Amino acid sequence: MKKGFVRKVFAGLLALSVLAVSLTGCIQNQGGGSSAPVSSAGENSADVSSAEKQNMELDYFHLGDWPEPIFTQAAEDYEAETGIHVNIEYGTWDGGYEKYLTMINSDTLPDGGFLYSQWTGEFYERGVINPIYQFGSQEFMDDFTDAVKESLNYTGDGVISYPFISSIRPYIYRPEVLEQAGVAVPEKIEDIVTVAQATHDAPNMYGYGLCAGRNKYTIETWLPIFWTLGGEMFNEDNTKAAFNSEAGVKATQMFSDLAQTAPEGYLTSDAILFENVFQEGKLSQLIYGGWVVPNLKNSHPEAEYAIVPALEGPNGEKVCLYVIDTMAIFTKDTDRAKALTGFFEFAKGDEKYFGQSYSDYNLVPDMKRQYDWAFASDNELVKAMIPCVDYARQQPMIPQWSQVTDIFSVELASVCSGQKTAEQAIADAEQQVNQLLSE
Amino acid sequence: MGILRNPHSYLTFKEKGLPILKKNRCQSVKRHRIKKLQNTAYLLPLFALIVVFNVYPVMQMIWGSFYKIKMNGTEIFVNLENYQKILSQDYMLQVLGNTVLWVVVTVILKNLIGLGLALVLNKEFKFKKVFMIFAVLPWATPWIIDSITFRWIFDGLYGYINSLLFSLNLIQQPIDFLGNEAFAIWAVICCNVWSAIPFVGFTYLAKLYSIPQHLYEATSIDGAGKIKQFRYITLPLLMPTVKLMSLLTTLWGLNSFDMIYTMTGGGPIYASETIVTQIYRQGFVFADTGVANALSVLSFFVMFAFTLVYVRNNNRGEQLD
Repeated sequence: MKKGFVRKVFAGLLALSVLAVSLTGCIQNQGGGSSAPVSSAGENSADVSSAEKQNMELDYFHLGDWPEPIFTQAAEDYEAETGIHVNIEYGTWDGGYEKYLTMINSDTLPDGGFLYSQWTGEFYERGVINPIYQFGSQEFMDDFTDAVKESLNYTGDGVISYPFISSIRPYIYRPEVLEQAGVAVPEKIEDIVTVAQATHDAPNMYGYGLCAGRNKYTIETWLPIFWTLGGEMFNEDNTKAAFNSEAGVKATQMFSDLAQTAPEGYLTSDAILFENVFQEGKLSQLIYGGWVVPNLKNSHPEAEYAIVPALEGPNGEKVCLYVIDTMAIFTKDTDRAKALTGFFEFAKGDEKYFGQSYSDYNLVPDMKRQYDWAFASDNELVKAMIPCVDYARQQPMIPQWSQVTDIFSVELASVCSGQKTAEQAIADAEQQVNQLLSE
Repeated sequence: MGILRNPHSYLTFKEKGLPILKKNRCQSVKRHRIKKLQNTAYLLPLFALIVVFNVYPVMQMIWGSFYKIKMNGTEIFVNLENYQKILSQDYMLQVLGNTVLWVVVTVILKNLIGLGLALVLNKEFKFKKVFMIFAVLPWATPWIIDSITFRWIFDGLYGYINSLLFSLNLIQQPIDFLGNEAFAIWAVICCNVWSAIPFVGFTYLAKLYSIPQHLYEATSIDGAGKIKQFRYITLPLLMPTVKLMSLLTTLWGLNSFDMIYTMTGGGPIYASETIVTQIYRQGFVFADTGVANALSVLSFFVMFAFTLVYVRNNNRGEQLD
């Protein structure tokens, strides 16, 4: 009897406690995205005291793990100098946007993180980014190139995030392959279709490297063609699509023609497909980042390559896609934001951390001081690409850019697969984008 | 003691008559109620977990399907606008068609091939155990590994199938299987069916083991052949398992995300997009949680209807048994 009573009481208490804990969990979750972010300190707190610094631990999330040794060294040195410890976590590029959306919705954003520049507008509108110009040193920010200052100035008050690395997408080709096929090196953007058709001999050689899967690389391979043909994505205040133009249709048709000479799998793949094919020496030309060249030389030392920083449009205009990967501040705590900005400046501004990487990946300078670094003065490929920065354009920083990217991936693929004509696809994309912008 | 107590209680009962009997019955009913309450209390933790992990999210999902969340986090009540938006999309018909095709084909193939596997394994043959170990491997392998493996098998450039076709001189140029709109969904179906067959097959096998052998012996004496035995003994006795497997494979089919996303990402274009991948796309690419919720609600009710039909059907079957 007594034993039974104890059992009943125990069961009852257990049930009640689980119910209470569970319901509390539900109620606490009600706040959703509106609750306070990671940090708890006041926004207007004074400069970080040395005692606070000693115990300060910052969290930074980076997409891609190649800079791990660099960041590790920089974080150690920064801690030795300031007492501030920076934990750096690495995620994969693939699905990076989804990871951030999950972190935003679950209030688990770190103090700062890596962002593609085209995401920064959206993340600012979501209230996630704490603009870095409030925390950075003026001297450091003044040292950014004009292209960076202009590209990352979303609010009109200064750079919203710091550049991590910057690259441009030149025209890269294999001279010996073009020579064998008996075609001249293109000067105008339209010429690449002729070259693609002349050099295409699958599966030994593919005419052009692009992708039309549902990922950001699809629009990145279309945009340089479109811009060079004189197209504009949106009207001046970014409230309406402007790409349904002669340039838009022509660029889409060119994209589709080039796709017929692209490596199999381009309809479901991202850039890794043509990066690999180029590395294997089976791609005659592409418009892409300079980091693919060392890969080609490593696997095929005998292979030749050459670049044209930017091909000309019909009226002689030159445009080059400029891609800036950035480091942004998410924490609303001023002390933590200042401390993390300090780390960015510490790592970014010193040649010993990133100098070699800029050379290895053929990146372009985003700070004036970098023109004196070895990668910019000694690397012939980088030297050839540097003038491109003057006519480089980056993807629009409108908040809906990720969605626009997806719309274009689908529409471009539908032209490549013969489902739609270029005119239909561009008109459909225009309708969807305008609806998106109106929302 | 027991001998002494029993006659005593019998006598007391007889002496005092019905009122005592009533009292005893009342005590018994009370004890029964307490026992029931106690059992309910045991279930409370589970109930709480179901509330937290099932009921609460479903309620949130239904609630969220009537709202639009703007980028700055503001929630706006939009009534049925999210549902209207789903129906107004041109590609939604293709997505629904893909989902139906996916579910119907995978359910039929998994159950047919699984049953075939079970019938084979129900026989005695040499190296049966080795065969069983190999047969279970597709199920034992994580689905994500299966998907990546199949993606490489069907890869347009480096795939094994292309390599085989090249070595046999059957093709001069590689075939982009996953980039082919007509074939992409079938490639993912192959992978999905291949991975699930062992589970379905071994479940059928377990049921086959439980069918009494004397039934086969008796019908064999009566002159029934293998086909008639299968038709009149095996199949009727397997029916409850067939129903259960059909329900499970249907629900899994409706929920399938990982394989489609890993192998084709729903593409090319919308060729292999199903409701679940569309939910993901709306939620994580378009960041439109309202539409994602509305799609989830529709998907939830379809699954709920299937479960309801199964439960009703199953109860009727039990009553017939």
